[in-house]
Amino acid sequence: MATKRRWLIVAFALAVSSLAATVAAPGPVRADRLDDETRSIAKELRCPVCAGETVADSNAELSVQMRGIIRQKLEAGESRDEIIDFFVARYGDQVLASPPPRGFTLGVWLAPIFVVLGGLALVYGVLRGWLVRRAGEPPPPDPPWARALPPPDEERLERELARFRRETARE
Amino acid sequence: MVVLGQVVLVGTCGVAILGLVLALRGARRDGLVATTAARNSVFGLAGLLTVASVTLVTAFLRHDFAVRYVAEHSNRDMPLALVGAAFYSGLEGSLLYWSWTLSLLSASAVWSLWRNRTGIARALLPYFMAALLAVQSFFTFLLAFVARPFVRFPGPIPADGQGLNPLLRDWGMLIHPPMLLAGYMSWTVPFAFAIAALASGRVDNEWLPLVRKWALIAWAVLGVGNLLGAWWAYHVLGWGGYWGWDPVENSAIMPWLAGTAFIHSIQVQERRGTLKLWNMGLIILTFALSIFGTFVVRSGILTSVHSFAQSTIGPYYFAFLSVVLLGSVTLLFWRMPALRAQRELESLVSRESAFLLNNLFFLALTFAIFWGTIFPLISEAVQGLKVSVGAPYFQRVNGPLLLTLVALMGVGPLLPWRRATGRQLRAAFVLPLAAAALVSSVMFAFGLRDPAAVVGVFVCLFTLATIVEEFVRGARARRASTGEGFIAALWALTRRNGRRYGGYIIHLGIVGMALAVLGSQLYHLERQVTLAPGQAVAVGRYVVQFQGRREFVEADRKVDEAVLVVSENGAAVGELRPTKSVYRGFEAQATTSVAIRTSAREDLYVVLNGWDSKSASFLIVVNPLVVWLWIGGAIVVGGTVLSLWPRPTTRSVRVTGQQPAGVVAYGD
Repeated sequence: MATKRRWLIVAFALAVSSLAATVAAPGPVRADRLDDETRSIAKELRCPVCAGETVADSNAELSVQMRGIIRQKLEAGESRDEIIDFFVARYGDQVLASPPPRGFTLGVWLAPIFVVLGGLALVYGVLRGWLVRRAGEPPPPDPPWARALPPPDEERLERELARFRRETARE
Repeated sequence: MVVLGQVVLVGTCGVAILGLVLALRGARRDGLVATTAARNSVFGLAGLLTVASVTLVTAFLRHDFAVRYVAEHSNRDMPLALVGAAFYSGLEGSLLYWSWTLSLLSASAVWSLWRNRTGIARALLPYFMAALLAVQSFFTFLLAFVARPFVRFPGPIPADGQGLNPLLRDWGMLIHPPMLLAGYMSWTVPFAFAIAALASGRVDNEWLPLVRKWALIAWAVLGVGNLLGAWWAYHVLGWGGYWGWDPVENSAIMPWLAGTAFIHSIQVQERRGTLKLWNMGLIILTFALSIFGTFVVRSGILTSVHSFAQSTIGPYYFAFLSVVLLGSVTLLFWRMPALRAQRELESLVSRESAFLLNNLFFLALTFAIFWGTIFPLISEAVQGLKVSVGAPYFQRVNGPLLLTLVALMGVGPLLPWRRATGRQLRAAFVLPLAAAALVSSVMFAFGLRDPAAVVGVFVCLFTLATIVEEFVRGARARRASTGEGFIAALWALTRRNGRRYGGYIIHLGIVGMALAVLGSQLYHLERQVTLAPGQAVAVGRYVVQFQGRREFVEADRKVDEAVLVVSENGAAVGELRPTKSVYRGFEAQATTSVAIRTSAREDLYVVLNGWDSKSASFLIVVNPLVVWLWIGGAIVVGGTVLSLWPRPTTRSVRVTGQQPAGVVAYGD
């Protein structure tokens, strides 16, 4: 009986706290979904008249207009890609906040990947070179400090270490 | 003032070049006299540059508009502290600041090396001074002849100055630029140590204990400089974030990343005697990136929000950078035979591998940032089209790399050197993995669904757990042998092994910052709204109601302030007052002051964007966990101080009893 009640309490507590967490968890407010979508598209576009700001962050008149256009197009049911293509057709590839992964500008995306892959190969090669023991060789004997001491020595070592720590800790 | 300053600066250039010649002469076998003279010129340089800097600051404080630099960067209405800070707000002044702080740091490094009586310190000293003075010769040459801070105002002396760019009129101006410039500058000292080691041929591990302290200081100063920049951007630029992947920000983070790789990989050399060549390469790279950073911020070759100081000194920097790289690489090749590594490793799973992967990912990150930063230039040169490489690229590429580094931060310190056995791995990792899995699945159950967030949180928790495990394990072991209380054992452990546990504390701070980045990037919530007085908007758990707007004049600026009442979960919690100001003389450029309500959980961030007679428009952002970025930064600084703090002296204890016959010498 008692265990059953305990389980009920736990289950109740879990239910309450998960409910509280769902209510409190940050997440998009449904009524504003278009705002979020507008913003997320605006982040992919560079403000054509500013120094290095995106349409989402800039307050230049042109950016404000562009945000308005994005919102209108979303309300008209256009997709994210259609809207971005619309701006690319109008301003060229330069309007994209990051270069498109095609043609010449594919290089900007690929180079870091190649660097990581090449680096991994290099690290593997270096480590293989450092290996004392290659595959198939027997393991080397333990170095002297890794071998177990004869029991009386071990005991004495522990005793002295404990005393050393005691005395140094007292300072 | 103008004449005094100019004469002193020409003098410093002379002293730097003379000192350089003396230091090189001092490197010969009978060079003690010349070495002493070179040391004195390092000190003299510090004195002269201090006089020049004091002269410039005095000219600012006295509003001496006969000095063109003063007239162009300050006016009578600015608060006194900002007038003083205008010292480093332009090109010429910031170069003087760079050179001056370097001269002070050089003087203290040379002083400590001079008092160090070891053979290695004696051997390095002349070359060390030569490298420092060579860098100083370049900067003092620029100051004396190219970018002169002391030039008379052309025409009649104006009654008032032009004032500082409004964006810079903030308290952040007192701390961010000096810290960042000092961070760039500080890497000169570790670089000079490396050059000295190469030139003198003492490339074994002896120079590492000397350089370690200076590398950590440079690392911490540059890191804090970057973080202060993030903080400034967050509360002044008003776009809701703290890092925009702007070219100047990128240039400031690159030397820090390469430097982080360096302070990790020198540990491999200290412990295992390998990676000598690699470490030399890393510190040269770090210094070159520091110079590149100073060059980018000062030349305006890349479009940036930091374009406050542009000039024609680009070619000089480019020449200097080329000389630095060519010279260092030549030295490196010359010493190549001495830099061969000794190699011993028994398993691919070991501390060494973790360090190499750490280096790989830090450098891959540096490369990705460098590549994205200069790609617009490459594109323009190759296909004649200026493309933009912005935040989406950097976030997508760097996010996974950063997360990998956080994971390595948990794995690496727990792996033993040489080889790890399966048993050791289980003992070290089962508990942290289980803890991280448990907590992240509870969070998943409570609504954490974004895959990136789940992976990120899991990795951060795992690393956090490994660090906690290390502290607990160490404190327990100490407690068992000394009988101290747990807290006392923890404290003594940290205090006595400052280097190791200071490092763990730094890692702890980094985990905090990683969580802050995850939270604020993935759960960032924002609304752009236009409100009439009395209207309210709901953002997340908050309801923000616009009360009204008022205008007032303060010193040399007109301020527009909006008053908003905030309630959280239905309960009123206070007011927020974002403002926009327009400074006299800069009517076209309004500056923003963001109103932020901070809690451990999230920031409510409100920007006043604009208004008309009926309404005002706002950017309202809920930024989760941002405060942990600043707290994490403070923890990192604390850990650095701890690992630099001298160890308490240890006392030797006499061993009792007889030594048994047939003693084995235990040792590596």
